[in-house]
Amino acid sequence: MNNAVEILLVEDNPDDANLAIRALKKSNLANHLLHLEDGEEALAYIFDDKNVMPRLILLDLKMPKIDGIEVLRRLKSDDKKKVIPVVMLTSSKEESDIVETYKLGVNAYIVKPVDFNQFVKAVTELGLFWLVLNQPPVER
Amino acid sequence: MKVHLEKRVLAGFFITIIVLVVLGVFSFNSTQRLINTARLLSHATRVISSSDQIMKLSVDIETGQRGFTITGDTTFLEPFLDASKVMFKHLGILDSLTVNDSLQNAKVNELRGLIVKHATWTKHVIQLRNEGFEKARDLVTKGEGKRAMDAIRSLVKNIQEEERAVFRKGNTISSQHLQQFQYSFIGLAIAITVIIGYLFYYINDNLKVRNQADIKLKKVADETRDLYDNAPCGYFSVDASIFLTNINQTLLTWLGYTREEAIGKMKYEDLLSLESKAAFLASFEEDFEKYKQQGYVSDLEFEFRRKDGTMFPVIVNSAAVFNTKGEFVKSRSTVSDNTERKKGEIRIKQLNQELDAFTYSVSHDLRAPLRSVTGYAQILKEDFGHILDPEGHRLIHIIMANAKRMGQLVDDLLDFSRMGRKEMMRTNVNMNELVQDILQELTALENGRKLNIRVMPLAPSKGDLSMLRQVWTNLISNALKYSSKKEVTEIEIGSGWRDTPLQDGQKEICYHISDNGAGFDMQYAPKLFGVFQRLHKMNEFEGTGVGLALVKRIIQRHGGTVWAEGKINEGAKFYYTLPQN
Repeated sequence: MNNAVEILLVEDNPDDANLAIRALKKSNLANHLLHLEDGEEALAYIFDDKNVMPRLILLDLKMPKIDGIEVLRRLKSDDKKKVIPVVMLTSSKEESDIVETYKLGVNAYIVKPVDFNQFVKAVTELGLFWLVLNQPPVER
Repeated sequence: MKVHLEKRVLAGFFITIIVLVVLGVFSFNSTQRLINTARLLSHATRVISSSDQIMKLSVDIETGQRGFTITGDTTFLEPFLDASKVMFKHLGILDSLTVNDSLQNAKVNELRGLIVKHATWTKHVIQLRNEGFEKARDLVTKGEGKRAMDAIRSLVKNIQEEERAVFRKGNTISSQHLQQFQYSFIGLAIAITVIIGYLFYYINDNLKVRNQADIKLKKVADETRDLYDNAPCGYFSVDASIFLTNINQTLLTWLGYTREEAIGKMKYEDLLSLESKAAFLASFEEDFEKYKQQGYVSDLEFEFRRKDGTMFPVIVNSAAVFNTKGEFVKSRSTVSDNTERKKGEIRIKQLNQELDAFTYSVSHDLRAPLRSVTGYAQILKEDFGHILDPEGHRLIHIIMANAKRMGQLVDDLLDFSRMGRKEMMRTNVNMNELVQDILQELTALENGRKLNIRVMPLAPSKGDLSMLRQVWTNLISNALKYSSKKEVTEIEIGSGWRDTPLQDGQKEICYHISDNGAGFDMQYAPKLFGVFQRLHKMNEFEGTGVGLALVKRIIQRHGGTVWAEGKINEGAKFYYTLPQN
């Protein structure tokens, strides 16, 4: 294990971000986590260096400047970056959003539960799944 | 030729023609008779005149002989010689005149014999006179010449009388016929006059009635025309090749065309805006076939293009017209100006978009802070729990519980709002499978409860599967929830057909579910289906008060009704109906 970023969390609400980070920490998954606060920052970070390949991107849907759907679209239309698993982590349960993100190639869509315990459970499970259980397409 | 006359008029004409023919035949016959009579008369006259001539010649012969006998002067013989020269020519004429009448002809022959005899005798007298007066006188005094003359005179008279008799007889018969003909002619003429008079009266009367009917018809036609032309909606008709065959004034005014510009010259598609025209023509073949099969088409939305190029939205309803062979002949349509409704629709669309934006924002923005409330309260508990007393822990618990409840309320409210706008997908729903499926799911969560659930065979129904799933889920989970404090839970689910109230002959299915749970007071029954309306306290039974409101909304969208019966502590029974048209 090196110091490369394993989880990229893109979330504009710092309170929500802290909760997610805390939940991931509980399962020891937050050691190589980078938190960025909007879509613009996320795109800049990912596309500035072609070697940046986080193992998982947790993406909020509603963000200022560039929203989660746009970030997803750019990621999934890039030949190299499209293999990075992207999980939408959002408060909204709008069907149109779910349909659109799946059409764009999202790997999972999680509606954040209001209850913190359930939230911790959800975040832990998805972190474990994508970082531990899931076999990525490219051997690193 | 097609005859339009009535039987009575036809009979009249027929009889008139027959009478005219009879009159014609009569006239012909009578004329023929008159001609015969005239011929008869002319014949008799000629016979009489010819025999008179012969008589006169005989007298001339006699006179010549007498003069010569007395005087011995040969100049007296001139009448004798003249008459002798032409006598046989006249006898020939008389003979040819009587050639068809054998009786008279025989008399003429007899006359010829008498004349020859008299001529022979006369010649003998003349001869003797040449020898001497006394010899001639002796022969004359014997009376032979006188007797011959008398016989000739008598026979001529006889011939003439016979001829007169024949003429008289013919003349009498003829005048009888003429009289008969006159009577008949007058009779028939009167008959014709009567028939023609009757026909005139009858036809005139008929024409009068027809005229009055025409006037009445014109009045009705004018009224219909007025109704057609000035109706508050557009009317038009097209033939089998979609050319306009009729159009009312209202629609012409809307479009800015004149009748002459439109009828027979414009096709239906020429009334449409470019966009509508393209859409119309794109599926025309298929749609037209369907239209001809169905015979009508309702509430089609188009955009019409005025002559000046401006556009307005319309709704078109059409009915097809077929001939006796079942072939499509034409189409009649009504057009209503859809501008106001379209404006309303746009407004509704705007409002819906606003509502969507609002629910989206509620869904996203309202839940995020709630998550922070529960999350940070949890952190407080985890990180600082050791320095908090029990009252502190209790307060944290209250904060978390309420935030969670508010999260549930927001979710339920969003579900409720979405359900109103969600598009319905009507399919045939197998209610037995659906209910069994839900029961399995819900009862799996009820460990250690004594459940006695009876499901009768349920009638299948048309409806939106996911919505009906929601209905049964809410109703069954309510039944389970409100009977949870009973020792044994009794639930019964069933269905039955019934007549649709207010709609004769229509049937609908009525589903029901009953439980032996907490029930409710019937006086609060109307409140049961309101949003956030609850008849139980939170600490009795949990809930947000949205479930039954959602049920009502779904059933209403299906065109059905929902109601409930209940008694406190004895249970509740819920009914809902689904129309099956």
